[in-house]
Amino acid sequence: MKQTTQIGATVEEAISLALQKLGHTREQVDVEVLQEGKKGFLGFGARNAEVRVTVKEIVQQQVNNETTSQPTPVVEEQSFIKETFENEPVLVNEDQSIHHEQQQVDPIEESKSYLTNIALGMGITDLIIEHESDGKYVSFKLSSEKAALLIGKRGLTLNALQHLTQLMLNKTAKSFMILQMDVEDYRERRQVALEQLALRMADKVVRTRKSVSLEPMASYERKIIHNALANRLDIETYSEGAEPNRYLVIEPVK
Amino acid sequence: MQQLIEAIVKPLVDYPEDVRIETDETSNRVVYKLFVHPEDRGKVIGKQGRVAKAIRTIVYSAAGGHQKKKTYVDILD
Repeated sequence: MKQTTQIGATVEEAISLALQKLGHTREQVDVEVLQEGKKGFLGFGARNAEVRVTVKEIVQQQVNNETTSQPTPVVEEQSFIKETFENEPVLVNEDQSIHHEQQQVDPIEESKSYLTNIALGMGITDLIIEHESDGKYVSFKLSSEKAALLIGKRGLTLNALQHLTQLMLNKTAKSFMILQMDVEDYRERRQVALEQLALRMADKVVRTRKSVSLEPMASYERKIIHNALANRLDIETYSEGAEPNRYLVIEPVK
Repeated sequence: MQQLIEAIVKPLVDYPEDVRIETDETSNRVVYKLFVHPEDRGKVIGKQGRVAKAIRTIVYSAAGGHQKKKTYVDILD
């Protein structure tokens, strides 16, 4: 007896996926709903639906006969289901996951669910992700009660998450995308802090006539400092060392 | 914790079914040994070990919260 269990965002979706897998029509199978799907709120509390689809005995025999004589109808059936499926990506819940990669997925939604899963593993259950995309630039804004855990020391965890999510994004996306991730405006606050640090250090350099090396920073953080000091004529800035320990040096102009 | 590592690694690799994690626990440390398909090893390490570093960063920050033991993540053949 042919049987399969299938997970999908909704019961309907799970059934059509299972049918696609088995190559049968809705009339030829018995469907048993193991778990109803839940939409959840903003992707939280969402639960996938699970169905068990069993091919009816009589049909199975018929199909066996059919496939020997004319296998075409089954193939047609499959492509039809696929088509209807691709036409309604709106219905696809953002929590729908890695279980079925055969369907077309939005890389942004895919990486969102990836991120949500990681956050769950870290014990963050209330993660909210908003996204904006502009050409190849995608920005994620995260918020959660435990924002500190997501940011980590000097944004270390945030950078790690951003890196992994960008990998995920580019695995599914057709063209290269750059991801910028922010937790509760951390990056903006960090930018202000870095600019202040830059100005303070620049003044110190001018006062002492000695160059100052800053601690190793990510490229975009160094860029913030370079930019902040770009129009100062009394100092010069450059970066030294190899990634990931590249650091910025502020030097007095002689 | 094992779940977290799986959640990070599985979607990144081409052979998710070959991802295996073993734990090696002693009185003061926990080592998570990560095994992946040989072709995926580069993917979980990344250029200059960047992916490996990111995985460790996340695991350490998650582990730091609820266990006192020192945590390690090893990628093995």
